[in-house]
Amino acid sequence: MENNRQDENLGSQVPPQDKADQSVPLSTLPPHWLGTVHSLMGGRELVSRLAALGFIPGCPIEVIQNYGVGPLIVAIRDTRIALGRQEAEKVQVCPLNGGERPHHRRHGPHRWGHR
Amino acid sequence: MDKEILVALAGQPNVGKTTVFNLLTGLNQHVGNWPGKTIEKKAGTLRHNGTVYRIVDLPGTYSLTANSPEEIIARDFIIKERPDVVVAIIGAATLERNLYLVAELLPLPAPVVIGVNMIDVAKREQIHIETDVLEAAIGVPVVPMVATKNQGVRELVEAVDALATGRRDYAPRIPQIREDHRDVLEALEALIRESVPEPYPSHWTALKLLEGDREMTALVRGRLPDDAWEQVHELLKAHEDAIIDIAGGRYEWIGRMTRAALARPHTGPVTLTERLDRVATHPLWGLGVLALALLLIFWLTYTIGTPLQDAIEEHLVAPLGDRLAELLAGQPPWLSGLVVDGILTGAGTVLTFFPILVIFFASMGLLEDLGYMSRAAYVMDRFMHAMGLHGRSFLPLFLGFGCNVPAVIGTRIIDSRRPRLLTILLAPLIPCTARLVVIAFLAPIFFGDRATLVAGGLVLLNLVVFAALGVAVNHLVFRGESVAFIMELPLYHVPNVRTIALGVWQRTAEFFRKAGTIILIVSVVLWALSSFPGETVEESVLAQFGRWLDPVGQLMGLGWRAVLAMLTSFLAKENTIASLAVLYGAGQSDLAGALSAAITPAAALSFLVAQMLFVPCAATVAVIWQETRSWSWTGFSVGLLLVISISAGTLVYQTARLIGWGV
Amino acid sequence: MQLLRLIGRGGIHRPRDLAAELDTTPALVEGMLADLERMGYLASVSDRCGPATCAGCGHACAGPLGMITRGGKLWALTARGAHLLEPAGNG
Repeated sequence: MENNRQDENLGSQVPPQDKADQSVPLSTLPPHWLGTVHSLMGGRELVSRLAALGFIPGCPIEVIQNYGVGPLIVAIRDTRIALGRQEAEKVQVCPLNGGERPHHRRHGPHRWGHR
Repeated sequence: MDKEILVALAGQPNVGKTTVFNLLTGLNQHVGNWPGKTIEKKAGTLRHNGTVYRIVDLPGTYSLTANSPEEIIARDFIIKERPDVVVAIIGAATLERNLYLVAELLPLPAPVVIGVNMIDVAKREQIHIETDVLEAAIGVPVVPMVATKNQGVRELVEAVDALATGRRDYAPRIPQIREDHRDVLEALEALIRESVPEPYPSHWTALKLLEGDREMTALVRGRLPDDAWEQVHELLKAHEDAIIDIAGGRYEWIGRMTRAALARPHTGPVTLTERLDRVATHPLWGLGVLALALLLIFWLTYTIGTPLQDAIEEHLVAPLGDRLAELLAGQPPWLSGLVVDGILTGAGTVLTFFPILVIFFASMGLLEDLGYMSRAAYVMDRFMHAMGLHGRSFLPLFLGFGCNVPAVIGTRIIDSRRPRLLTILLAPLIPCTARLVVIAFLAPIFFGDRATLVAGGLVLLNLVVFAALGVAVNHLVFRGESVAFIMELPLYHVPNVRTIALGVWQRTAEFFRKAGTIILIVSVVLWALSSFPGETVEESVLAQFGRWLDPVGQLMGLGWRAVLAMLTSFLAKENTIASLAVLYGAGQSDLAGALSAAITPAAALSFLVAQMLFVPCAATVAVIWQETRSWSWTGFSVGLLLVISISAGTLVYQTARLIGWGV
Repeated sequence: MQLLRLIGRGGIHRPRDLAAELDTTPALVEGMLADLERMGYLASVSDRCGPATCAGCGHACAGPLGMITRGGKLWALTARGAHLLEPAGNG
């Protein structure tokens, strides 16, 4: 049986940095878009809470609901989490849908046309 | 001789930890507060095979960082109280995320047993878990459970017992920090090792420092000599973002541990939860669902609750009063008065809360257990945020329309302190049915046909003041800081009736014990003040007090009688009517006539405005104190509302005088 | 009796006030109220009414009222009692 220590040396699993310029705030991703978490910006408390919930760079994330205003719902790992818009703006995500960028890429709050 | 084992029960929210706790302790549990905090502490005992297990339910937390008082309580308990075993409950359907807490628990000095709960729910989602593989991987006992069906509990207790008594080897694989941070961690530990106070483990403390944990940082800073702290500070500044890597490292560990044990469908069928959520979290339909839920609750209240209240009054309190009056007929009148009018009235007031409380607590418990509560909070958050409130504030506040007492107690579902305090402060501004009864009685007398208009206007006034005060207090007292909105939306599941029933019982019993005593005391005091020293009320101490307050009353156009009537509303809002009836109507043939003769419409309006915004009734004040444990916040609440109500009344009356209306 | 007439005027009456008007003591008034009840001209309504409800209902009642009491003995005029008060019987 193993003793008390582990034997890892696996290093970080963040995806290669050359995609850094394609990261967008989570709040700008439309519903049903997939992505991977790129980085977290924001105060230490927010970052540690998000990280504990699974918002780790490299982790897949899917937007379940985003109406352009108000809070969003995302699926990360095995859970659905509701995030306020301000909080979602602080999560940078590399979108994966065919590698396409979302059409209206902007930073900050965003209004989607369909209503 | 009974062997005693101390067990701490830990777990993230929504894993069914409460159900497990209830199964283990049954009715042998006791609810209190963690010392110096407003967070509920549940502890209980289980006797099994000659052993006494003392079980403490730690607050549900997602991690053990000092982001919230709950997390500090949880980790302090394990570190300082040294339980023999920590039972970590995780949900089978949210295994990976739940294991994050386990990753934080394993480095602590207490052995861990893992209970994987809600296996049935996972199976429904086609998730399969091999618990023995998990056990082999992590190196701690892993027990599968379905707490709602009472499965796995006995095995859990046996595992706890085996571990506590050393009958079983304990060789956990503890997550280690990633390679690139290992040096920093060692350096930190070397610097702080001498200064870290017992019983905090130095390795763990160093890790927490690297994570940026506020409490540990402050603790170490206070204990370290200056030059050592400088070095520590430099190291920490150079690695400010280490928390992400540390958390990432834990998730890698989780990935390794679960790789062989967890089988999940990649693209499963659309789950029931998803389908329900399409409606429940929809900006429009979601509101509809919420409205429906609220309608249901209020319908229940009026069809079952109110009749029950009347029945209690008619068939219990009043006959008892008569009987007691007869029994005490030969005694001096003050004794009969004390018992019947003071004590029984108070007790009766407390009792009449009972049906409403049960209905509201049961409804909220049901919605929470169902999993719907977070959806309701989500749908309403947009609107609540503007006032510095949390989405979770909505439901308790809305219940305030029925009665402010369960509204204040219901704020327990708000997990962060500031929104909760703000919600409690604002709750009394929600016009409860008792206040509406007063308006319904007085408005027609003074305003005839326009009574409904006036009533509507008054309710609207309350809501406007509510919003304005919310924004104001949020800016001035809390400096506009808002709490981050991060909320888990758990899977819907079939509610567990036993858990809900136990919760209702505990909350109601607590109300009776704490608030009930205060209400009783207030009732007796008020009776005494209104019955002595004279023969009639007009000569009582309370009336003297009312006369003394006359100058204030004059500002609002009210004589001492009206002021007195408002004072008596402290015990129960409906008392206003009784007081007005006695003070103006005794011996008169027409109360309505007497009132409209004695009070001008302008004064009546000012009276109603002041009454609507007045201090909450004694029961509400009692629960505000119960829930905040802070005399200062309670005092602030009462004082603030007092000032607002008098100002508003004055404003209305003086304005009316100015424009020459209704004077 | 005079007492009945006083009550019959409508509204709520306290023994102390009634006693003052009849130039007697409250205790005697309460006794007379009990007598009237026995004779069937008054009925006890303590279980159904209290100062709060009674203020709006317009019936003729009497009883020792406090501002915060929920009851205490309360008597209301019965049909028989009302009948007795009518100046000329309506048949």
